[in-house]
Amino acid sequence: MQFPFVYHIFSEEETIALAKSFAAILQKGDCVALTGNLGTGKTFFVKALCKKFLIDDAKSPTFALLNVYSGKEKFFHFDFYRVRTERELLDIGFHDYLNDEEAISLIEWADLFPALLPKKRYEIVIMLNEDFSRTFNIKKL
Amino acid sequence: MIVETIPDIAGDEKPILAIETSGEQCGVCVFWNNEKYVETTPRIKFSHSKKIFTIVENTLSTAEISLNDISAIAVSIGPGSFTGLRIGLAAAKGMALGASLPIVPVPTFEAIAMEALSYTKKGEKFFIANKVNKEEIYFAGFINMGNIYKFVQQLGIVSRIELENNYSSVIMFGNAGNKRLIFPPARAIASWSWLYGKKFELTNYDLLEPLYVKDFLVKGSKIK
Repeated sequence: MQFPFVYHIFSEEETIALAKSFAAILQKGDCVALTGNLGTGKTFFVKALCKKFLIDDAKSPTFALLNVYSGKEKFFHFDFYRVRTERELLDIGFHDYLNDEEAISLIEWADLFPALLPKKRYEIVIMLNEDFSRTFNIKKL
Repeated sequence: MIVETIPDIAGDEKPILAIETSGEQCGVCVFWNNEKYVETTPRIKFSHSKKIFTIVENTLSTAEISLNDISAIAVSIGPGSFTGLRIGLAAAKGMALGASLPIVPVPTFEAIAMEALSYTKKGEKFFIANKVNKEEIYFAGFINMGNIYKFVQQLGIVSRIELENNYSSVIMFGNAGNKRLIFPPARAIASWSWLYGKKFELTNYDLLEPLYVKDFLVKGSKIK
């Protein structure tokens, strides 16, 4: 996979295939920032990604703010949607999680608090098109 | 679990109870002096919130004393893990309040520096670098003066790039450094307090906060 990577997707199967390809390049300590409106498939993509690491219980952390998964790799799965201020993220030790070089961090609605994101990260922007296809734009910053 | 124990528990001076939670591991030490202490540090990452009171109880029990036999609680005050420091300080405050004990806030980097004296030679400069986040590093420099250390660079925050460009060939402890000593053992927190802590004892510690160096304040607003 070469970056920037732009891909149009027309089915869930294609999303799963893309997640598998992306999973192959992920390494311990990486951070993935996901952006996209409600219903674009951020959590679906994360679930498919986690499956590749033998994690079957990935689910939306919208209400928990953070889910922790252990499979072939350890994952911190954040969701900023319900977070009101940066302070709330600092209070749960956001940087302590991101400093863990043994884990991979996945952040949904990452664009809500851009100042807290590490400069070195993967950025995935998902757009819902009029024909209900999705456009994935993946960058490596 | 590692337990170093010299349980010749006699002597008149009351021991210090030290708590170290600035890093990945949670450590507790009951300390009379450098020759006599009981230290417990489970090799379990991020167990602070679950284990701290169990570790305190076990350490006190091994030392065959209770909180009432303690002279002061020394706590690693930072900089270090945001959550770890808060857990350590909250636990220290709770115990200090319950047992009417003073708290000694121990500067974490100085405890590391004290420990680093045995890893460096007299006259040698050394640095300590611990991660704030992915881009920034807590950083300070010291010189080994024999059995004491002296600052050569005050504690502050530097960027990772600055560190890589300007300090790549120095002796550097900490989790962004090149040596095995990363965070201080609880014994070093106790030892620092034993040597220097008397004048820093606080009986009014309600407003005592971890030393984060960085101002963790809200910078932006959320836009949806």
